[in-house]
Amino acid sequence: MIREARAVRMSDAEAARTSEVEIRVVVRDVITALAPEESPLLDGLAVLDDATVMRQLTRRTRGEPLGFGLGETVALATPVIWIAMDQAARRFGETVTDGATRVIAKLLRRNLDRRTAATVMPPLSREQLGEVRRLVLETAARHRLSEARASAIADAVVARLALHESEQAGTQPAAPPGQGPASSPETQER
Amino acid sequence: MGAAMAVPAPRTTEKPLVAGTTLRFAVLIVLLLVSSGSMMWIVTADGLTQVPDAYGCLLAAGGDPVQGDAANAAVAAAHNAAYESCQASHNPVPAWWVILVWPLLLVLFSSLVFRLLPRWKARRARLVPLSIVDRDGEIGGELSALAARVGLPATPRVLVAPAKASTSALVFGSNRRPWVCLHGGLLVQRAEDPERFQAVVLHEFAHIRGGDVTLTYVTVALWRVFLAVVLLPFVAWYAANTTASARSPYWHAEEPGIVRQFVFASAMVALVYLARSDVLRSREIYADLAAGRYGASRRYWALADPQAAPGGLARGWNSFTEIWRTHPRWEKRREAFDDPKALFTEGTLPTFLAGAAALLITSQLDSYLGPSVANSPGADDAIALAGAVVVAGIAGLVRWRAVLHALQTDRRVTSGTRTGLSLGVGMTFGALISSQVANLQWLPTQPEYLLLVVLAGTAFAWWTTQCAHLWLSVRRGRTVRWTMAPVVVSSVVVLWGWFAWWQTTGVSLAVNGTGADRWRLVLEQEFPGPSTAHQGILLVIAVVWLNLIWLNHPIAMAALVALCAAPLSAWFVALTAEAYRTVREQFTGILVWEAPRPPLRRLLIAATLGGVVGWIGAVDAMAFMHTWQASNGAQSGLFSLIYLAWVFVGLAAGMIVASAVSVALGDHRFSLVTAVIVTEAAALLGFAGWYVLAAADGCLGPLNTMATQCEWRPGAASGLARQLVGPIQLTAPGMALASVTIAIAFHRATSLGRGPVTYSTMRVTPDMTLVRRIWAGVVVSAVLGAVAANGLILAQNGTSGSKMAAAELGQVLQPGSPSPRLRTRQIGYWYNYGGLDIMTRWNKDFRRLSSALTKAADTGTGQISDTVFPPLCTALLHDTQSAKHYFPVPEPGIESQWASFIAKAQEAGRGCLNSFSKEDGDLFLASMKQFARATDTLGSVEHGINAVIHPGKH
Repeated sequence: MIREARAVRMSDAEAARTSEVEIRVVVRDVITALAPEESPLLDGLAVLDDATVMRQLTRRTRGEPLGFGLGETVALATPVIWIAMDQAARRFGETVTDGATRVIAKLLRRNLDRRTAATVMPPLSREQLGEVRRLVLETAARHRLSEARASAIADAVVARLALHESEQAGTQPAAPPGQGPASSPETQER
Repeated sequence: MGAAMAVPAPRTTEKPLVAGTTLRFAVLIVLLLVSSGSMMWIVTADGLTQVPDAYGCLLAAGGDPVQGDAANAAVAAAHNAAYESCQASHNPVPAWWVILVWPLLLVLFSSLVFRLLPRWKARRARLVPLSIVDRDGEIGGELSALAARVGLPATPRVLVAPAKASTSALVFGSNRRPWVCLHGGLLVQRAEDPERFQAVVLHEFAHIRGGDVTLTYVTVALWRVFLAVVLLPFVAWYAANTTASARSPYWHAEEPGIVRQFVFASAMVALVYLARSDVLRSREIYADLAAGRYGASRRYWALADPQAAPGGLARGWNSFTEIWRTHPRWEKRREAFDDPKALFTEGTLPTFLAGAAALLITSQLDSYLGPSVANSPGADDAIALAGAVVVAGIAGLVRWRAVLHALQTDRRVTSGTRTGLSLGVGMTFGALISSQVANLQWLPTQPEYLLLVVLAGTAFAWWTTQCAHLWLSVRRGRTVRWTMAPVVVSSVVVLWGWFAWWQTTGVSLAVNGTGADRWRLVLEQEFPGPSTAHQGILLVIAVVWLNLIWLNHPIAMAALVALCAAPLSAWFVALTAEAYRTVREQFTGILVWEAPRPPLRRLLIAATLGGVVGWIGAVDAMAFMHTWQASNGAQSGLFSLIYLAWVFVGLAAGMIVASAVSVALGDHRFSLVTAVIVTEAAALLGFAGWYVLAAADGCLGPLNTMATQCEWRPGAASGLARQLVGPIQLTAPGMALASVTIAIAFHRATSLGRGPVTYSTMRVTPDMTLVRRIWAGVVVSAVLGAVAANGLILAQNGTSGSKMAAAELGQVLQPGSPSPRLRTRQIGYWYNYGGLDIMTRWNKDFRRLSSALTKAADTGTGQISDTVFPPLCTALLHDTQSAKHYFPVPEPGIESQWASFIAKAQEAGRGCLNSFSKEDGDLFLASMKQFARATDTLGSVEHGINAVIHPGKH
């Protein structure tokens, strides 16, 4: 009996994992499509864990001795997408860790090289996708991206997430909020 | 003036002479090292002796901590030997190695931090290797090409901050192994705008090429270690100590010192940040200009900082915040491309910081090296020299650069007043926060003497500016460095004199005041004679003269020679046609040629006039003293002193005339330097005239002063002259400075005096014929030779005025009547810090003497052994000497008994020893009785003391 129950729980966990997406994957896909010039930066960020990336992206740049000086800042898409996705992931779900092995690995990492688990975006409802879009637009405004570019990025992010939803559900891709049919009841329940 | 140049001015570059920023870094490092030693030495010394015992020796000497610095310094000076010996045994100073251990620790830890800093920085900012971002190696290739363009021996190690969106970069590490960090924003922009990428990288590479990296990060490492190892423990120690001190009966005296330590710690933080940011801002502009030379496009400096300049309060706030930043405003950086003015006119901050650093370095070295090297000759002078190098190297160079830039761009040469005031204020600030002029009180006893520091800073800036202006004018078109070097060396010597004076006489004046009344009393005691009719002149002697006795110091002589030689030797230089500036005359519009220096003739006229007036003044003094000679018929010590004082006043009148004429007739560009030369020359001329009369004293009829018989007496005149020459020579630059200050204060120097000499046709031939050159040489050598020779005479025959003063000071001191509690503490410390020890030793030795006597009596022979008794008497005499060299008892009633004990004991001891040499049995017996009486008296002293410190038992 115990063995059966464990088997059921494991299959639930597998089902949950397959419906999630790591936010760095979404960032990579959107950047490749919309801002390929930023791809080298993503290569650089790829060697860092998500928590570190977030700390670095949100840390204020200070004037350092022998720097060129704090002049112009380029309106990059990468920090906008990453920060907005991270906020959304925190709001809509928890950073998913997979079983006891992951917990141990996490502890070990935290103590050894302070790496933490990847931030994962849970499956989202239509309203939640709308919220993600709003978050991207807000963050883009803070990062002084033009409105047109901000909305292109926001749309691409939502499309990428919806595509993921549809791939997982095996149905039609969920249209961005206000642009197409409602997402699947399964997603809405969550 | 103010005319436009007919000939276009040469375009200025940023590097016609050294920038001096390396020296500023070095000063910062020295300040941190010295402060580490000094601060931890204080903590260690305080740890060895806790309050209130720290004041034990002062109390034993009859002092009272709450009476302030001057009163206690006088008490300590009055019993100098006893005080020093008491301090040595009861307030031990830390071992000599403590002086070195903290600076060494600082160096050790800093070198460790310096080595680890690049890795730590890269790790903390999560920088990634360039290869991860630059897979095809394109960026790496470009960086190598740029490094080769700049002339770097190898491409630096490059890292990337992928999360940084700014288009910036950064260099750290060391000059030999630099690490460059490129921000993500810069890399993204590179494809779209490769020139921007190049501009930023070239700026960073220029930092490496300019050698900025090691110095910057050595300072960063030193500062962090200083903060952790010195500043925080120092603050923590004083914070913990404050509670203990607050319970001390001397809290009132402790409070200013403790608060000052906190102010000092905060000021150190501010000074280090300001100094480092200030130098870095200069280095940024140098890197910008270098990047421009290597091919960076200037438009990237124009793109940055789009915000409009604010006005009013916001501007003030921005100016304040700017001085803390490591980068200048973009607006300033942009301007520097067109005109590197910012590098030449650096404002008042560097000089303020230089003044503060110089005073902090010298005063701290003085206070913590003082006890260890007090007896080693030249230690004080070496410390003073360090201060001189700091000020001359930073403030002097600031003025040289400002003058050079003004001359190169045909701008008006500013007087240097702002630089000088900031230097003076900086030095004053340093003196105030470092406890140099006040210890047991908030402000020095005579704070007005701090104005002398401000004046000295200002005078130095004026003098340097005018020397620079003069030399750059006469050597126009020639190598600036070689023109500047000898004058900067002279300015170091001048400042050496100032720092040596300030550390000794100046600080003493601020702490104790001139003590005019005390000095006058000393004079009257030293030179007995009828003086009641001459109180005024005695005051002049007391205030002016005796405070100038410091001049017998050899450095003073060197400083005086340098003060005159640096500008005067400019008249040696043969002028080339290039030295004459071509200007369009303001009103007529006609071209004229402007002479680079005023004619020597003008200086000679003013000096001669002053010399003659001074000589007449000296003659007047002789005539006046002749009348006194007739009425008193005696030439006592005081008589000759008053005579010399009147001669001094007479010669001073000549100096006033000389300096005033020099300022009024001279070239306003060089008002101070010419006034100094003229006044010094006038003083020496008048002095020489008086010397001839003094040597012929006795043959002068109504002018006979010291002698009544006619005879040529150069020896006697020299004896008097030695007393006079020092004050005269030191007063001359003071008079010149006063005249120029008055002129500037009331008229502004520019509207006073004449302008430069102009010619309507160009003088193609140099103006210095051989005859003129010889003539100039003779005059210059005569003045300098006279100054040097007189100084030398003085140095060899120096009077010991200061020592005399210290010894006499205590005798004329009028102690107040202390409270019973204070009296109890004073007597308690007197007893415990030496009195009890002396009494115990005496009683023990006396018991040995008594038992020897008893033994001799018991043998029945009545034989007094000359092997037994003389050593016993010597031991008692030795105890008496200890008592004599100890402090008097700080209670008049007991002190009279103590003095009586000493007198009796001395008499007994001498009598005992004499009785053996004379083989006089009666004398021996008398001495034994006297020993017994002395012991009785000592018993009364002990009883009296116990009655005061243990009142309940009596």
